[in-house]
Amino acid sequence: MSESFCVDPSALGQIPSLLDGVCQVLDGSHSAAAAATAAAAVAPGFGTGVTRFGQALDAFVVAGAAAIRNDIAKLGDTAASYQRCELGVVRTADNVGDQLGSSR
Amino acid sequence: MNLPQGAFAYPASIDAAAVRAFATSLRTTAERLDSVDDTVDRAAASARQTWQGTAAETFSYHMNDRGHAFELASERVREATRTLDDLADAIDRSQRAYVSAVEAERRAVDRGSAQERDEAVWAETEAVGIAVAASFGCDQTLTALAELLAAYATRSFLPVGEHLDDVLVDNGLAGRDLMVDALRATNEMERIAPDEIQVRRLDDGSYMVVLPGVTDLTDNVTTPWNWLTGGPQDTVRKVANAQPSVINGGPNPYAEAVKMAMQRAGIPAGSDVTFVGHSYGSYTAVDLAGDDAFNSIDGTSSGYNVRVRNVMGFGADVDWKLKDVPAQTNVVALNSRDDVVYRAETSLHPETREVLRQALRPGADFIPSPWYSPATRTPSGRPNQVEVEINGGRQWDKGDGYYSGHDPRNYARSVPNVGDQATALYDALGSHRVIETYNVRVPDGPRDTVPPTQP
Repeated sequence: MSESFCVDPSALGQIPSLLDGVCQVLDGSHSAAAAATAAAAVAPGFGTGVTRFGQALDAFVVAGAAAIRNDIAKLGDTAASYQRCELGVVRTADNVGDQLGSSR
Repeated sequence: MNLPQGAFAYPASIDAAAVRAFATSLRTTAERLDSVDDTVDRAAASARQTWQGTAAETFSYHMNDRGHAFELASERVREATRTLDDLADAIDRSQRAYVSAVEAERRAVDRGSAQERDEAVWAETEAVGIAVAASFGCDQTLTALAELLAAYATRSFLPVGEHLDDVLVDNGLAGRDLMVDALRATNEMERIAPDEIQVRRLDDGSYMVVLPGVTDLTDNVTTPWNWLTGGPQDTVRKVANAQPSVINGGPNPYAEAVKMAMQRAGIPAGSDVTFVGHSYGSYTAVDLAGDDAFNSIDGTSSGYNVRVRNVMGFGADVDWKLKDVPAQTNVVALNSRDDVVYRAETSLHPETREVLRQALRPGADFIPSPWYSPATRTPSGRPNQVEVEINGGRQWDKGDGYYSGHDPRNYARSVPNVGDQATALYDALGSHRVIETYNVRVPDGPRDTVPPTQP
């Protein structure tokens, strides 16, 4: 079993809020498909690629936000497990593994 | 923009302003992606400062990987904006040329010169052609960029909800134990869905690619025609696709799908790869190892290629295919005499016919049978490419006892008892640990027939 420990549980607990800001930025960034649709009709030979690009960009942003939200949830569980430990500084992987395992 | 119209009309829809507006909106998106990349990198750095150990390293690795995906996406979006800007500039040039041509046409009409008018109309045609050609080229570029964005998302973001878990619950498996775990995963649909394969990135920079077998072996007992037609499944992993490769070495759609999936999964060209395959997955692993263009371990390749370092196959009579595998690729094909699927396949294959031909020739003093042959054989004559036959037993209590000899769990239990030669090859997998596990789709639909460009 590998070792893992937290030297500053409260600082670790702040990372989710940092990442939450990322999700908000991403949530406001998936309008490429609509913009692509507006641009798609400008010329013969133009449309399929621009539409696919807009859709792919939106899908990328949505998938990225979902992945980060998943990370936030897991990290929150992990940080909470450290903070519940009374000694607060050094914890073994048994503790981390149990916590992460229970969050699956 | 309202252009004066000549004899050859300028399409009213061609509009540089709309193209520039799209480019401007994409520039904003690229700036946001840069900001996201910075923040995610800060999160990784913060985690490293406040948290240490394997879990912290894994989290930081993931954050860096995600950040890198945002960085790459930003670069591709900026590339798109440059392409769109170029298109807008081309439209401007096209329209200026068209206006000049229309003016020339009018002057020619005023002068009554038919030849000059024809030349002017031709110039109008060429002017429109500038915009149409630029539009077509831009569209092609955007199509390729869209494929890259999809590849980045697949590699770094999907499958959502499982990716981080799979890494963080890494229980320290390495080498042979990791292979056995991969083999077990081929039997668990909650780990590898019917339209997926699994990629495991190891800490030495190599990859383990897990190839499960068919999804419809027993499902279609009551509808056997689906074994020929493929039935309704949206997966390349079906009996209908397996038959040509399994029976006589024909085309293997699964192998082609795996190549595309490996590119989509972000496995760099030239990477060292270990395939772990069960049943059709084992045939596919050997087919890929024997693919001159794909397996570059012998120094030759063309197109996307990897170095197939190991093939660990289970429940598939692949020995007759090993002659095509480069000498540098290690192969262990583990098969059970209690596996009815393997035994049925064995009866189809050329080496069996050769054994029988030798047995039946005049003067033959023994009747050899592949079922009673030595436990370890080297069909290619190379000591690092072995087929091992075992008595793997069955699990009669599992409800499908007759087929249970083919069950990956049966083979997993047998791995410790495969003899010295195969054990040495299993041990050669080393002690490398997995640092990332993710699944990649290998669907059978037309949407995945075009391989993505390598990120």
